[in-house]
Amino acid sequence: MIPASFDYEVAESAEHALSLLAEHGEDAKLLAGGHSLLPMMKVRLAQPAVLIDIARVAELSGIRIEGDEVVIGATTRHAELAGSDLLKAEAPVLAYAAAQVGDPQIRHRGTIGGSLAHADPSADLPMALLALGGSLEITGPSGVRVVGADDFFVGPFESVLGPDELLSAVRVPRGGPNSPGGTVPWGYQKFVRRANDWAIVGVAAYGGRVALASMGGTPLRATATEEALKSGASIEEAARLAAEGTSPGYDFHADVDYREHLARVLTKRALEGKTG
Amino acid sequence: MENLLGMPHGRAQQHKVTIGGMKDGTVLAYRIEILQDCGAYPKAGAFLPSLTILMTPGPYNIPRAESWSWSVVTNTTPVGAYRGAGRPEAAAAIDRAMDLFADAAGVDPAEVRRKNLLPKFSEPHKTAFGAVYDSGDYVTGLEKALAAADYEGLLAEQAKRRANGDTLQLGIGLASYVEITGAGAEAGGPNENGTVEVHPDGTATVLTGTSPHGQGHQTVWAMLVSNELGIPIDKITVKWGDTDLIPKGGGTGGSRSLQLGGAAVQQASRELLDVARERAAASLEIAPSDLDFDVDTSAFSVKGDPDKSVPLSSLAETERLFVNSVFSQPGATFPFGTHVAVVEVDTETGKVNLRRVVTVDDAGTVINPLLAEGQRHGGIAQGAAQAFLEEVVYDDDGNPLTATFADYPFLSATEVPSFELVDMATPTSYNPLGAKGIGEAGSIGATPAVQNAVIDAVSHLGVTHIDMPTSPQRVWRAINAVNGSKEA
Amino acid sequence: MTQIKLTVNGGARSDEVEPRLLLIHYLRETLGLRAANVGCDTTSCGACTVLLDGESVKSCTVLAVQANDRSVTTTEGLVAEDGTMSAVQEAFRENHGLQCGFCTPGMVMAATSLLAENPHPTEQEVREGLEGNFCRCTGYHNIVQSVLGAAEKLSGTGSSASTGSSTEVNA
Repeated sequence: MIPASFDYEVAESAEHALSLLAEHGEDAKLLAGGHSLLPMMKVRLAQPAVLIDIARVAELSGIRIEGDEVVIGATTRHAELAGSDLLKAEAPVLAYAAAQVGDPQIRHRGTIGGSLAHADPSADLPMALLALGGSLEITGPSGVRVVGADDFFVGPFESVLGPDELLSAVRVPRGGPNSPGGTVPWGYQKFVRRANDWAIVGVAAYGGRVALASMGGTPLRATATEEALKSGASIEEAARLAAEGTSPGYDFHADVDYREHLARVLTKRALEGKTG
Repeated sequence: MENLLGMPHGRAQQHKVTIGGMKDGTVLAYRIEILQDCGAYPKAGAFLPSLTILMTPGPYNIPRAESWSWSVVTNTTPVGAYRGAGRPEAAAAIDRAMDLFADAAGVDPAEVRRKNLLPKFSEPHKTAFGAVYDSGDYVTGLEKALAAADYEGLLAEQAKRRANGDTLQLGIGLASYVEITGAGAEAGGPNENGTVEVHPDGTATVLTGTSPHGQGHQTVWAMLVSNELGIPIDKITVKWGDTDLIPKGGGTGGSRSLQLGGAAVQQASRELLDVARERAAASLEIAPSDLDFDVDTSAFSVKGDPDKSVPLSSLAETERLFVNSVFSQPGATFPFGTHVAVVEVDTETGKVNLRRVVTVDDAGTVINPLLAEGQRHGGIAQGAAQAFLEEVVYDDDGNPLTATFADYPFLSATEVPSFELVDMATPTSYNPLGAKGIGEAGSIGATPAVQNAVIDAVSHLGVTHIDMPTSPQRVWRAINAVNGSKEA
Repeated sequence: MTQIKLTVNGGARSDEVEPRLLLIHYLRETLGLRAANVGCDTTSCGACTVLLDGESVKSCTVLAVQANDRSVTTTEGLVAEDGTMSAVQEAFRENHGLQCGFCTPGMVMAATSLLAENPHPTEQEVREGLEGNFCRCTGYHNIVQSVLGAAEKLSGTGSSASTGSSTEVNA
């Protein structure tokens, strides 16, 4: 219940955060909303020696349009995403995903950057970002690099973020009625037993892309389904392939075969544009 | 975490039920074999099945019934008394059996219950298992619940969805139950003490041997005293739990408090009035029978001389005015009812959505409707949760998998609807209040009603039983087991 | 140790705290504000809910140092100086929205935040708005009635509430 002791630094800018990271190295973790990190620290699964608080760095927060993308600051909170008229208009699947995270209290604190950096294969935002084919702006000692969602998540709770790097922004394509390319159809399915649980299986569909949560060590693309759709298969036929290439785990909620079944059923519903 | 691991868990019974009867829906015989997992230490777990056995036939008139139990020790958290303590298990077994029998006989589950429920009785009815049911009108409870739920309308909706082959199917589940309350371990049978004291300033203090934790005893005991003595409720202080003040008490459990503790407080108030009357008569040098007590003014007056009024509180001026009284009743009381649960089951995923729970919970006279309803809501939610959501899980090596609220699927507000409560009050003759215990009734009826509803939702697909909790995976497996994999 | 300056229930506070001190412990142990409760270890139950700059948060998952320069409101702070309870508190009392009371401060704070963001919630929206707050005693029925009742009081008009069950189905 009580975290191990640590030192606490407040970053005044992204640059300041980076210099603090450089100074403390692997002993330091960044803190924004803390709703992925603090629960782990409270059970002492994580014991960083230093926390660098970036929550008040104004330049890291905010939602804006830049050409045919929406750019979202990493410390933007889920509640802000869920309530953003701009995001609801331009990238509704992301706004919807943010509204599914946890519960209202969690959404008042958790941030998109924190959630993506945490890289939980069962979480909403990594899955949504993967479906969108968005990208992540990572700032490090040698400048900014951009990594596509397909390449960002590499393992359970593991991303390509280095210990001296800061996830600074998230970019997603615009796909609303006023967007350059027009409305991109989307759907979202999160199968839970209780409202504020992590997904037993999750599916986000965006255009022809389908992303799955809780079907492997990272959020996964349902590539067989995507290929089938491209070759003209019906939604029903394509959805039957949703579990191919996945490696779901099992727990007391769901065995492997049940998860695979859910992936198929929920993919069909997401491709039909349904949320639930 | 320590709480979920260390505090007693509930239920943990396995049942094997056998039921048989006539094709017209009359049940002739019922057997239940109980395996009780006590957890690591056979404390409450060892005796809980005795309550299950006691309540074996429930509210039904079954000519031949038999039950026995084994209690075993396992390397898991000890099992203890959890809302209902042995009775929900009995109800779950008999009402699941009733539905299995209805299915086998081809008779509507409501009709099976109607046929087999004990007819109305107002003299105590002793069952072959030794329980003496004090009063009961089970069929009326069934009919009221069915009517409030619009049972016929629900059946029609279900038929429509089945004909359409809808993905979301409707299930209707019934449970008619009777349960035992106020059966404590007190020496000399069910009893409780209460003290009422009137102070010269017109206030009163009540000391009770019960121990409330949210049930509202302060409100109701004050109401009862106010009704007898005419002292305003906001001038009455109720105290409990301080053994300096209250050396004896049975506490709160087994739904005993109102029928024993409330009755004790009422009795103490009445006895206090007798003492006060004697004092008033003595000071006026008249006979006690020449005095009237007016509860509206909380004062005695001399018959035929209304101007001569003696306020009750004035009789506490020279000598304390208080009475401690022990109330006992002939035995335990038996509230009863019928629950109707309506669920939607997504036949593709197995997910259960609880849509309605309509209940009759008859615990005799209701003193405070708001508080009684609160107990029913809480019990219904808790009972429903057991049927479709909550469970303690261990892996094959005995490691607990549900040791935190992140894992234990604790019911939240989004998984239950608002409940529909129907009023019915069949008094008991065992105490002057006419009250039985309401605290656990909701959790006894709701569990089998919800479980039956889930199975009913997919019975047209050939499913006859799903163990609880009816998790989505269990429902899906049950559907598949009948039909083979439906992946097309 | 870190110096924090914040407003708690309208009053200025200045304290030296360990960075690892959770806001719930700062409120309960340092300030003696014991309404908010610790009910779990996993940010699940919501019994610790307070308002941070007017928004509900689970104070067990916020460090006291994160509240620096911010304002915190607890249930104690909803009561006026003359003892008058807030509309939400009053509604809980009137509608028997509590039994043992352990979840109640968290429920009241969550409800207060919910109504600030959505003054006319439907019954379903109330239930979803309280998905982060567990209660064992009440079955949630009267808690939902309390929040709908408070909404009516606060808005002065009827809310779009119904007491029937929702028609939404979630996969």
